[in-house]
Amino acid sequence: MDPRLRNPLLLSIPLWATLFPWFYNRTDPQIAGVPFFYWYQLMWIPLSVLCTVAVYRADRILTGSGTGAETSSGDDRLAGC
Amino acid sequence: MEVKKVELTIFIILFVGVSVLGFAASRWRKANLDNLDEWGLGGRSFGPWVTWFLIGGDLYTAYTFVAVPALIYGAGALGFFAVPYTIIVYPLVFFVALRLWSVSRALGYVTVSDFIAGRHGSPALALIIAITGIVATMPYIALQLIGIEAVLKVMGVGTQEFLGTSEWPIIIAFTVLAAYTYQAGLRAPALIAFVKDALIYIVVLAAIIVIPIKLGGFDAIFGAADEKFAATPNPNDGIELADATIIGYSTLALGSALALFLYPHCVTGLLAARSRDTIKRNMAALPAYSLVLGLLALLGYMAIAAGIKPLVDEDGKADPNTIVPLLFDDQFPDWFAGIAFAAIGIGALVPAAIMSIAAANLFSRNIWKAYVRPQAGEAEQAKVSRLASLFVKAGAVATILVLDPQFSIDLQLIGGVIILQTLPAIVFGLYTAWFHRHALIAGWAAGMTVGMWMLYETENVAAGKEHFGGALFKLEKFGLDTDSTIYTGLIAVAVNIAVAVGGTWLLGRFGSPEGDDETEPDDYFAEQVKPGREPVGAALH
Repeated sequence: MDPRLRNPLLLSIPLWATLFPWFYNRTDPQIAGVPFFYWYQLMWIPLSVLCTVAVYRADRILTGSGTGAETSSGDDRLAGC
Repeated sequence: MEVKKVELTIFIILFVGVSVLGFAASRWRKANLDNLDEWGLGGRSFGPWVTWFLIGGDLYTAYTFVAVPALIYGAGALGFFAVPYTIIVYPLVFFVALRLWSVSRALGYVTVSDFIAGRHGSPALALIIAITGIVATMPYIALQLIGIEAVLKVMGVGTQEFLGTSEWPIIIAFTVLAAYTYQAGLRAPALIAFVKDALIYIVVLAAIIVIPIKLGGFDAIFGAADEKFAATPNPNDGIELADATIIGYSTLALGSALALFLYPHCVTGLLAARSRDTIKRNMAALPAYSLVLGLLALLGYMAIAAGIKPLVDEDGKADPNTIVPLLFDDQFPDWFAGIAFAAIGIGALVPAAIMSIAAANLFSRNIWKAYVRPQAGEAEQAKVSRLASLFVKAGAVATILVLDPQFSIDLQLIGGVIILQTLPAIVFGLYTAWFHRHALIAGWAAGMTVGMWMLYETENVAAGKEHFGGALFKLEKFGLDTDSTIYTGLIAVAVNIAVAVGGTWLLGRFGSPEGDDETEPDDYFAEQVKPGREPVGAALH
């Protein structure tokens, strides 16, 4: 696990939400005629983006990464991992 | 079926346009293409936007717009597993992609097999990983071929005989593909990926907005699907998951996600990135493609609501892969259907190119150079790679002839069973050198054996085939009292892991010597080439 990721557990939330169909295998409530089973999973697409972005942003703030230009392996590792 | 002239004309125009782009690609950012690194990884200098398109180009293929909707059309809710699959892939990738990129950048690795050799110190294991990667890629390429074939059939092109064969469309398409990848390597697909993605977004937006309106809204669409499945004798289809398919759904999603980044072509896309930041940014952005996949899956239900029936071949077999092309043909004006067909066709061609290049790289570096001609220089490696790329495509065609699963998606799932056996060596190897290389080989052998046995025991009821009929295994064959099925790949890799762990422990007790590990912990976070490790191909300049 990347020691610089302070919230790796955030990344696992989408897994918990979608790997157990017993909890979302139903038709109601519907949105615009789309059964729950389908819109629930589609909804987790943007939600998983939020989780990933949250982890990435936290990572950048803590390690002070640059704008994407090449950095040497030294700069990326700061406060005691 | 008569030829559809308008659609075919537009299809050909776009196709030819893309081929011209492909040949022009060899001029893009002039580089010595004889250098394998240039040919295979585009010189490792792609920036974030190009990488975004390239990785995306890998992920969304004939699987997305032909195979998944066909499964939804035929089986219902089960086909939607592709959505949770792509949702969970991204967090999983975080744990693999960054480390693999860094250690490869630091030590000049071009393929995943290079990494295996460096980390575990076992040429045998590296060879096994290479062969597995090449073999697993072939059914995935085969799936792309089937996608192109479905489009051509619907346009009426694939159905006439000429010179003793009616396979001309596929032959022509792959000749074009082979020709321009031969010349320009990875740069060809990258340039065309822009075009492909633009076409796909246009078509998807039209499909997801226009077609539901024409069909009376999602109420009507899901209603029609519900009626259809209620009327079939199969108790396991439906717009909701049947009890017996729930485990199958979950394991298909998890197994597919675990398998995805083990494929040589995904590794290729990854290693072409400029920096770790590039990869991180892309990981966050790629779920846009997930949404495309989910929306396209629903085309399967829209086809039911529109009354689409699959095309029947001369031998009387219905081809469910024609569902989406037929739906577009039915719902769009001819000229737009032509554009949609081009989107599907090019959308299958690009990943097929990327997949065959990646498999070819594995062959030339980790089989040819490692075992056949160790003295092979960069130029020879690039040449062997080009030839291997052609052979891999031929292998894909052979796969179509040999395997005949109920749904084309099963081809990719069967490929998944195979590639999953490389998971312990690669994924665990990225985190620890604890596993003994011989135990990893034993684990691979155990997983492959169990996986192949399970696939052999899976029948294709619809076509009356007893073996290799699909990738969902009936748990009752293990002696359990249940109707449920499970994704073969997951069981096979679990066995693999168990044997690898047990074997490592055992070999540890016997004091068996460890393999040489040339990597260091810092390498897995590297951004630069390590001093003293020349990047591949530097010697030629």
